[in-house]
Amino acid sequence: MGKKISHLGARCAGVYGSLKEFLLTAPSFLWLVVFFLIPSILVFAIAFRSADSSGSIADTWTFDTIRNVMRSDYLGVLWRTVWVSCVSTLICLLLGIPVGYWIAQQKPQYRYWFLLIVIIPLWTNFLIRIFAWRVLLHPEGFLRQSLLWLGIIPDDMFLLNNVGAVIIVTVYTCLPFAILPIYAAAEKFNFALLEAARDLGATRFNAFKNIFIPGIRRGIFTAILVVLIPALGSYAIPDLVGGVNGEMLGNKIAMRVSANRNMPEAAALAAFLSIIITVPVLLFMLKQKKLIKAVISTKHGGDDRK
Amino acid sequence: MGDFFEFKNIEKYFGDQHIVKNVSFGVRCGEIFSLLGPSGCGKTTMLRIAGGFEDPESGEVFLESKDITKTVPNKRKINTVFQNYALFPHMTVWDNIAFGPRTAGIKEPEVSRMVSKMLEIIRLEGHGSRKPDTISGGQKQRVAIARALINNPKLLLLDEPLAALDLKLRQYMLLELDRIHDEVGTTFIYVTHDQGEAMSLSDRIAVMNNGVIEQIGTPAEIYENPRTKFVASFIGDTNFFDGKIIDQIDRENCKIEMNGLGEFPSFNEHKLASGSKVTVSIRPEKFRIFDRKYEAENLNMFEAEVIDIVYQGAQTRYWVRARDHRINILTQHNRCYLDSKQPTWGDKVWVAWHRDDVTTIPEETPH
Repeated sequence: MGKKISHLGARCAGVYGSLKEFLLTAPSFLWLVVFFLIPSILVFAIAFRSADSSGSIADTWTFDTIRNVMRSDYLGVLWRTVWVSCVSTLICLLLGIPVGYWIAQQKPQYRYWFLLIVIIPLWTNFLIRIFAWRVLLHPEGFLRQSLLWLGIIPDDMFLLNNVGAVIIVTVYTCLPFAILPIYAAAEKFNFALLEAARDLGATRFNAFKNIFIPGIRRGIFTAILVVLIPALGSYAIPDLVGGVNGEMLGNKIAMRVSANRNMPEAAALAAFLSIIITVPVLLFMLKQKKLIKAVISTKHGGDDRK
Repeated sequence: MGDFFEFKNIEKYFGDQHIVKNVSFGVRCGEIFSLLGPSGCGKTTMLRIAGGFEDPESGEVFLESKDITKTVPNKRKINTVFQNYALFPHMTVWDNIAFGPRTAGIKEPEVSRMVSKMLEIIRLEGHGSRKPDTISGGQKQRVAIARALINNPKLLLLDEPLAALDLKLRQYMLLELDRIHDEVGTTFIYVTHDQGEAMSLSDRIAVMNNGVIEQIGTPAEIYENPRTKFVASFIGDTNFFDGKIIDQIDRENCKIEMNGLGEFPSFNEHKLASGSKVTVSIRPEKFRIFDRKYEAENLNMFEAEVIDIVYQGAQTRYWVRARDHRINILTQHNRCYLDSKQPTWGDKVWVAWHRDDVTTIPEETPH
């Protein structure tokens, strides 16, 4: 009898516990549903509506917008968006990994100063920093004039209002966000492993490539996500420094919303962009899940043997 | 002509700390050579200099008479077993062991044959696909050894390889290390702070303290004839007495006044002159206890009082007091010496030792 009661008690506690859990997560869940899930579904839905001439959404369904969005000039912008983002991410990694590696090897009391130096630019407003880049990259600006004077670039090369400027400024903006997760992973890395690799005959570069990079791969994955996603959706940077040839998908969406008042087309482009972003993230999460599962199963295996 | 592996006049500073002070010694081909000393004595630094991970301020390192002081770690035919194993966590046991040969560009079928043989030597066949996190400390240790030995090094450096293991496993791994050494015949340099490990494994031991080699010798030489006070106290237990040489008896022996206990004939290994101050070291097991004064050739004796007795099964440890000295004595249970009567607390006894079982250490230890 006593046993039954205690069993019942446990079950009550379980129900009560899960209710508490539900109540605790409900606000954030509700927030996500109202402000993220429903709007996303609406955006996807609007993409299949037709537009009327007054700039609002008509109440008939159509595939025309989607077909329209598949036009080659859009695909050109889409392609540019993807490759500019990927190149920016790659450069961020190429710059961020050595920096994270270097900071993690400094004495602990100095590391935080170096991290501070990485973060300090973020204290200035994002737009102000981009305008500062406009000044720097301007044809009469300091950077181009010095490079011309040094004879590094030809006379007909301009630094502003092209894809190059978009990449430079995107890298500049995203680099701190790439360095931080890489540093966090590098700080936990056991640097004796690099000595072990050297001891076993690996060159400095091979030890870095085969031992350090796999050792901080989680940090690198995170860095890719935090750089690639904002870069794919970026709007302000191409708008301010990209010029006509530096336009990205974000600018097209903005134009359809504000100048052209063609909501369905804007929605279709936005949906397109979210798919581009979601697919790699989902792939990554699946990989992570496998990773987590692998860790759990090996842990269990280890316990079983003990 | 030099040894197989040699350090010559090595100096090393970390900041303004003088870590290694003009150290020179040689290691013979095929031996297990231990660097023994307390933590911070510079022994790990010596090992890292041998591996190429630290550059000495001055001095040279020779392997088979070739100067390798400036050679980078990956070009040395030397491999290291690191203190905390440093196994690559993202690789399986198999890939860890295969790392060296693969880096050297050896073809995969040959690598596979080598790894299988190594797994056999360390008796971990069937563990190749495991990740380092999923094997025990002793197994990790053996994988670390295999990963180093597969490269066929001329010299294997082991940095406190058993420090992270518990006592039982440590004893087992000592036997394993000895077996592996017999099987592969590689020269080992073994760094440890544990005298038991060093004594049971080594062909020769270098005792290091404060960046200086205090003594190099076989375990027996180091134990029986410590050259300095530090060596005498670091290796095993001992009793120290301040003394002064008052007379020479013959070429080998002298008479020492032992701080109020009396004047005793003693073996004078260092041929010290009369009048010099010495520290006399007598190991606990060199003493014998008698219940009366006992006359025998070359046997020294003084009277003492038993203050503590610790029965340890195979032996009994006595603490006796004589004047200001507390003396530690270890006896086997040989009743014949005691006429069947065991001394007990407070007994007056006679403590005896043979004059040859004494180590006289000069006051100012030679460096």
